[in-house]
Amino acid sequence: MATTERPTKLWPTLEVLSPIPSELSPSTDNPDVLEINLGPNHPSTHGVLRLVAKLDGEIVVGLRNELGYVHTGIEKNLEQKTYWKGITYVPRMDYLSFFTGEVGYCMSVEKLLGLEVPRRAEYIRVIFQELTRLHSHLIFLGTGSVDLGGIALLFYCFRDRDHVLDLFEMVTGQRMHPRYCQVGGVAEDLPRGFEPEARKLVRYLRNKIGEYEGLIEKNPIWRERTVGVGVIPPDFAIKMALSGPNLRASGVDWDLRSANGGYGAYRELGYSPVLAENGDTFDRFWVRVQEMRSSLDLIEMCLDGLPSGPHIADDRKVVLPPRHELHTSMESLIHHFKIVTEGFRVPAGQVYVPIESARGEFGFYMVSDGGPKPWRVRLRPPSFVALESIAAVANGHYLADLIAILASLDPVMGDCDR
Amino acid sequence: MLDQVKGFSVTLRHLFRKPVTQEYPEYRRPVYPRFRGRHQLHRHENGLEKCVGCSLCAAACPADCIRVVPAENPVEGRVSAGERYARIYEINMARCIFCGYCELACPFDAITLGNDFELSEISRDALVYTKDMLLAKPERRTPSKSVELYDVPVQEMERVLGMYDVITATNPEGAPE
Amino acid sequence: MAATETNLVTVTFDGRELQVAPGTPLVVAAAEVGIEIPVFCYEPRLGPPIGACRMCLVEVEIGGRAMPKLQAACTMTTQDGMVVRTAATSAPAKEGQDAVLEFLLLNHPLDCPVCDKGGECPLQDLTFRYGPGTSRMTIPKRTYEKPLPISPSVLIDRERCILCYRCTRFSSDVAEDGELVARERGARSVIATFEERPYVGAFSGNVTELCPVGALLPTPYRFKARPWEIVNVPTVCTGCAVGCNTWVTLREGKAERVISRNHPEVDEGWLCDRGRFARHEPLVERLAEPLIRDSSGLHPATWEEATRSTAQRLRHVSALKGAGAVAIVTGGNLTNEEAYGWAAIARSVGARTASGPVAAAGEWERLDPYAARIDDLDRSDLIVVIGDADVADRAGVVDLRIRKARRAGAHLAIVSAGGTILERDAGSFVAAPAGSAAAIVAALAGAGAAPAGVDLADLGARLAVASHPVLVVTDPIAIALIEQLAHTLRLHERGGVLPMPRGANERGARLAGLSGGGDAVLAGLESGEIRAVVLVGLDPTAEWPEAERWHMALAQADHVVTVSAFVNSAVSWSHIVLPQTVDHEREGTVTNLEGRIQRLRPVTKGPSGRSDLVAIAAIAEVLGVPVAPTPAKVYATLAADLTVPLSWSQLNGRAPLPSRGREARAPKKVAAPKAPPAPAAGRFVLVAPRPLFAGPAVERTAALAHQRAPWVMLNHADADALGVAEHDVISVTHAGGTHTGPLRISRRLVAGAVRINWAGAPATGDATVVRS
Repeated sequence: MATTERPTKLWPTLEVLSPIPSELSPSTDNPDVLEINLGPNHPSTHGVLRLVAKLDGEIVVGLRNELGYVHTGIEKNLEQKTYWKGITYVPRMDYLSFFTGEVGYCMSVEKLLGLEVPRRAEYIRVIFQELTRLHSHLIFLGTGSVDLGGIALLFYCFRDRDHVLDLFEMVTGQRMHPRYCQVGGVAEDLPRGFEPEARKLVRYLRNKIGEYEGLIEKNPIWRERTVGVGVIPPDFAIKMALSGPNLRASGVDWDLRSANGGYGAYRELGYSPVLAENGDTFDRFWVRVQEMRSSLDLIEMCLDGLPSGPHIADDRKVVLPPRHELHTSMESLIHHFKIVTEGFRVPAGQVYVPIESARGEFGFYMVSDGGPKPWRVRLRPPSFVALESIAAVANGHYLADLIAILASLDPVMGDCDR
Repeated sequence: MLDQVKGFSVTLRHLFRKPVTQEYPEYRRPVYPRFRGRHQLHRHENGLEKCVGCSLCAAACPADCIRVVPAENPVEGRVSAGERYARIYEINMARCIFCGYCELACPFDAITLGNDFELSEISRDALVYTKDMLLAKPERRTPSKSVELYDVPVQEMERVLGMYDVITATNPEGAPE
Repeated sequence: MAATETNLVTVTFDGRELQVAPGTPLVVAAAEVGIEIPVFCYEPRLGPPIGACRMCLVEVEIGGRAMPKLQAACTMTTQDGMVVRTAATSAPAKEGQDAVLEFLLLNHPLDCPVCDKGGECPLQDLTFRYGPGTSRMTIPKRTYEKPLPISPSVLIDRERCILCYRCTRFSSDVAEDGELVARERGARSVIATFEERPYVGAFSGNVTELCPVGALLPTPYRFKARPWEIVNVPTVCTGCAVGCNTWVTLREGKAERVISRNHPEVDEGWLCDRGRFARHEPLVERLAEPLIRDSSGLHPATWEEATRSTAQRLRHVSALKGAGAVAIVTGGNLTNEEAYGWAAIARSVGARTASGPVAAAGEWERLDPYAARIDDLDRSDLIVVIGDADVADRAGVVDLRIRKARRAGAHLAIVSAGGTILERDAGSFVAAPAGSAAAIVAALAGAGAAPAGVDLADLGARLAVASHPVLVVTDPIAIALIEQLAHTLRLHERGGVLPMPRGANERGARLAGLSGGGDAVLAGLESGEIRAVVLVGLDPTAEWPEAERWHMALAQADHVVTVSAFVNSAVSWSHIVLPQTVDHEREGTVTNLEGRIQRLRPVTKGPSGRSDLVAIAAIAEVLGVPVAPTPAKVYATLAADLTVPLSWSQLNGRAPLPSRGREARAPKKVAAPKAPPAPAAGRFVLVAPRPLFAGPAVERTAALAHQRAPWVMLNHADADALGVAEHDVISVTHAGGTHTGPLRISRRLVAGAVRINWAGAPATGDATVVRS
């Protein structure tokens, strides 16, 4: 088995491109430079990303990202909808890490409201955030391996992803975009069958992840394609505002689940992030595989320590009243009616709530004017930020490596274009 | 040489494993009882429609796919149990995102989301479901898994916080597997 | 002003200090520092507050001493040194407010999903914003039979009523009809009419807007739409010349209801039932496409054919017979822009125009130096109403303004034949022979003698000394006469005249260039001088006097072009028929009786799908006259021509009324009017002003059927002489037809006169009265 020496900690220098950081222009007027389009409809661009690459032979000397093919105006849509209805919009951005979108959106509304979320709800939210992370990373691994020519992982990963989605279907009623997270907690309590099934899945996936790890770490072709390719030095990663696994692959200890004490139930669970050392394509894959393990650990910790109590806050001005009261209580009926039709009002103010989605810092900036709809919503999608650095990273690499680097940065175009 | 043997042994092992593939449509995998599929309008036991045409579902719908036109309940031949009824009730399934907010919004448990998900049609017009279609039972029922196991909350919190308990109780598709 | 500043008192609301005039209700004062105190019953337009709902409870401290009980912030007024704590900062006030809401919801039915008010309901809003989220109520709720019609246009649901008394206060203190009362005591108290008789009043619909819950709801809007499914379009009512500001509720392309859009200077948020309920909606008999007559009758044609043919015929007639051979006769409902377009066409073919039946009764601009605004009534100390027609019939909500001024202390003097609604509460009433308005105006102006038996000395003396008199003449008499009176009374220096045009935009049409009267056109048609006539939005055989003569005259004309929304009798004489739009379908501006230009917005599309102005522009184009097909452009030209200082965009929202010059000119000399001929023996003088509830839209609205039920009014002495009693069915036969209805007996109606609510062509002269 071929072994590759891990490179020493001498990081290559990588400068932020100028004048446009996300755009690489060829340095010389080489007449042989060939401009080719990758995408917007290309299997390896993970959606509708168009990369305009300039090639000198097979070497990338120029690169430009063309975004916006799946722009659906989600931020503007959110400003047109009541807070309650907005919950259904956010998961449709990052459709692979859908539940983190819901949680972040609800957390920002809760912060504006100053609403306390019951502990049980926080734990349930963590379980499903980690499940959605597993889902996202499984797809990343599957599609990423296809990009590098390995088809087997795709089938394995998609099979396991469906097992994860089974849990979503069981608890929330929908396999994706579950709108399970609600302002003040979660929509429903866990059903009786959840815990055994979840533990079964954790056991199953632990086993499988070992297998996939082997398929990556011990695969010489894989290593040839990834080790030392697309190295992102930590200083550059920080300059380019990379976050999530892409940042941690470069050894920077920054994970919102642990940084500044974390958020939600992560505060109590005490998470320590997975870090890699070399910041290359291999590490970006490796970090995600290891994160799947830690996700499984977190799910187990949550299942062990799941507190009892309500699954949603008892705030009649925000949370829908219990259904049986609609037939007896005038007050409940009025509150139900108003929350459904007009929506609850949120005090004027502005918040920025970042949460750790599967691909990094997913930020929600929300301004309320005191009405039932947000006055302004601005989302910080991690994919968008990650894509900005690809031009600098891919500089001087082979075209085939560009695909590997792109896959390792794990962009989701719905997230990117919003 | 050894590597080849190891490689083929993996292949051999998989030969004897049960495949994960499910032969749809011959095999129809039961959905979980909380699954949100095709909508269903309900009637009271006396045959009157539960829907009174209050349009709360339309107000709650984030995709704006529900259209309700109410009318005064006739004295002879009442349609619903209330003062008014839905003269027109349409759901545009092409727009529906199956979020279930209509089900949450309905104060009379008149609309629920059932188990069926095979809704594809050749034309978009056929995806606009009328009240008659929604009141009728679907032709092919998708089976559901155990309600006891997969719907009843692990804590007996329904009494205090039962956002969903009534829906669950009235879920007609919620028959055991 | 320093004088008032020293009178201000200091009040503290939740720690915020405020300088305010003493005697201000606390709810109003609190709003000035941005603190909202929730209310249900408080409504300043209904007169003094009554503190019925108790929602506005606050904790009050005066001079350091706390008042022992919570106080209602609507009835409690500001005093110096008052410290007020609302529910936001005071626990007792919060507890009180919660308790009040709990009581209000105690018997409130769980009707939100079926209630039309749901979503725009103050009870819901305030419960959601201020109330408790849970209920302690476990006992069954009180029930009533519901919904009960309180009138054919208003339904009452007594279970939902929270007894705020807004509706009864409107009935007793604003419309002053006293029809709606609270019956029974305590928890059994209900809102009802006397002996369950229907609530008949010209303004009854306003209670549906005042009601803070879903207890009083308009029948036509029942189960039509939800607040989140509708668009409210701001526009102006074109039912009469007041121009009340309205929102028209649109759902799925249909105008479902009309509600008030409070313009304090015009309508104060009130609407008459005609403006609120009258709808052209059932599109029966609507003309949907242009028609052209050939040898076999009227046949559908394209717009291009119809407009070109119209233009060619007008040009042909004017070229052949010279100027004056064409007449363009318009009703009172055109927008200013349409009027401008027709005036431009008229100029190009040398046509005569007419915008009213009689030219002399339409010269509104002569009154401009003396013109009063509607809100001048609020400041007046003397209101003189001259004429047999009721103010409510001519200009709906002005009636409510006059009553408000009277309650505020103005003296209301009425000179009429009697039998009007307004005279019941008038300060002084002078009975005058029917049809003598012109003679009375002339007599007051010193240009003639008063009719026999009419003593105007007292009125004259009052007019001489009043500081702000407002003169209202409800009958269509020569404007020059009114001008003469206004000039004699020097009304350009004090008070003014409130003109009462017949059509909604008669005034604007005249200013846009459509002057002249129908009498001249009729004479021209009869003499054969006029060969072609265009009737725009008008059927003179039904709406103007001399219906028979118009029929004959139209039959003689070579070319009759009718522009009409409905099939009417003029259509049968027409060679070309062009469909017209009606109220909510048109865009443009209208000028109300004060001269205020307000904007109409299109809410729905007419059945023809084409705006009138586009058709006018098409005709004008063939004639070589430039008329823009968009109202904004035409308005710009028109405003420049008339030196109106308001741009199109300034007409949005509540349109202002720029002040006008008040330089009085020497009035035109007019001959003293002749006294109306005395009726033949055994016949009665007919008093038949056009009632408020008349016209094609009213006839098509089921909710208004009861409002236009015919009645006959006689003096008690005449009734005795005829041997008829109240409610006997009486037939009145006059030149225009026969009117049959139950008898009302009046003590004020002058002897020898019979008053009827005749909705047909204007009828004058005498009539026979028999019991049928």
